Amino acid sequence: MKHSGLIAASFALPLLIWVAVSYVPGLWQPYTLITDPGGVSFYRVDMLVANEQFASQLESARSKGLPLPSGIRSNPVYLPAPHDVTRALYTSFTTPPARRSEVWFHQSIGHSVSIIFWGFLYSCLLGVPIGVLCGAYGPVSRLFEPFVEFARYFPAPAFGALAVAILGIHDAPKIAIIFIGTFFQMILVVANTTRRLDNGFIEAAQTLGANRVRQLLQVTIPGILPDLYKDLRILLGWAWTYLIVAELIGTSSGITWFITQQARYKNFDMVFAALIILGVIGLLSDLILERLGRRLFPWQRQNDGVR
Amino acid sequence: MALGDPRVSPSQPKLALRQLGKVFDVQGVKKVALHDIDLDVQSGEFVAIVGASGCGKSTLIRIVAGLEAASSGEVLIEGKPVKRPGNDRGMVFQKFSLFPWLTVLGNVMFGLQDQFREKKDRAKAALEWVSKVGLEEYVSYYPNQLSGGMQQRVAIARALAPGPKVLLMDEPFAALDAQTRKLMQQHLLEIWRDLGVTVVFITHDLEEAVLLADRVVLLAPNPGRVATILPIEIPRTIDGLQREKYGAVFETQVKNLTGELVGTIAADHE
Repeated sequence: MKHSGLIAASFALPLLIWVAVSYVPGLWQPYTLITDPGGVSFYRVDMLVANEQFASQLESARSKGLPLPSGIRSNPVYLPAPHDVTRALYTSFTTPPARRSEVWFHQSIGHSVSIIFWGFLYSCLLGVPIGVLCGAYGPVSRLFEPFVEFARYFPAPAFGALAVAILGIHDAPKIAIIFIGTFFQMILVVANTTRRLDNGFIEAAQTLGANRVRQLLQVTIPGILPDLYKDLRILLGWAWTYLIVAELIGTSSGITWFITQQARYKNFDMVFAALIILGVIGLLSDLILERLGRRLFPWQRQNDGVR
Repeated sequence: MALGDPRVSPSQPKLALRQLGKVFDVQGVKKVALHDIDLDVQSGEFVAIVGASGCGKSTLIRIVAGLEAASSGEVLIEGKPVKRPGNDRGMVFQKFSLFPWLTVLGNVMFGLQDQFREKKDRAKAALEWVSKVGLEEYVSYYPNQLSGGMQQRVAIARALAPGPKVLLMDEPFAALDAQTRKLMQQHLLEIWRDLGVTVVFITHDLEEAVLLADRVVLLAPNPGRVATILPIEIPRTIDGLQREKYGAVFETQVKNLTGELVGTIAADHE
């Protein structure tokens, strides 16, 4: 790959900043981690205090002749160091569930993926055909699109309570949120992609005697397929955004449940580990889909011909 | 049509345009694009239509193809009026408009669905057409793997495969480089001779028109109308197909045509 260096750099750069902020003394480290409370009555070991406050307590202890507190400079608890997160990545998978009602980390991930899968699948099954028909036929577009334009401004999370009331507290309302969040956008995006198809193809098909059904099935649909595929990849990213909201409604579940649970105990290394997992799943699935796309649409390859 | 049909006279034109008119409505203002076009094209004839830009030559061929509706008059194919696109008129577009998701063979097969139910019969017939344009080695290539000239040859094979009565060509070689254009002109003439197909050829290149056509129809702009119809009587000397490009007669013809074309533009500006 020609740009592999830059691709590596795009990941190395944020990582480098994170490492620098975490390990280079004094670069940020706005807090002091107390190792010895000394004569300061309210200090405890492992307490984090602001540097200025520590300095003034140190000064007052010195002036009162009390034993001096000591501590090391440290970052806030919400910014764990890379090695903490690496360890958390490992322990998150190896820690058994705390309670019987809870699940393993990988099961949480699996649950999240299944919510995305079903929500997005239903959205595609309905949204793609409607979108294609809207793009291909003016009257269909005029029938559907004004309402869809209106409906797409509904924030999907606002349907949370309603979805729970109608669909219960388990997975169904979560799937519904993913569906609502992507369905209306999908109609508009797919319709637009369909409209962008070069009209020359339709005209060529007409002069070759193709009727409307053949024009739709053998020209419009294969013609938009590569772009449709790209649209769906982008919309799948949106589905992940709605996942976080979807998993908080009803009974909290999946990776979001894991994140909120860990944040509650201030296990921010675990939170970061979960975020990294989310990023990796998203990036990997997109890479796989991209590779798959190249196989599915061989005519899009340019550079192996005779021109 | 059966032989001995009293309606079919031997001189019945393959394609006839009768008082063809087209009026565009541009934001409430009526603009006459074509006015009373009358033209007969005989079976096996090669007719080129030329004219200054904006004279409606593309609109004209699109109406003949059925891609646009005429405002008045009619288009007759073997005496029968046609309004909608159909595979009795094959069309070759300037930008090829090959289906990029289909191979060369797939593109040519597209127009054969009415004739052959079985896919394998379609493939067989399409292969013959691909061979006729000399691309049998490339049957499984996708259009974007081919050069412009090759793509246009596929487009010609695709247009001819359903057996149209007329082959309509809308500036088919305008997007090609000079060298390829020359080869394609020769190639087209060979196909025209071998198949005896009737060709209506739009071009803005007067030399190309004089080089290829039996008759050249010059359209004048505003409104688009037939200014003159010029039979080209230069013998086809090269392989009995092409004309000597630098002969005196050729140059006179082109010069005359250029003069007339410039005349139509000048008249428009008065």
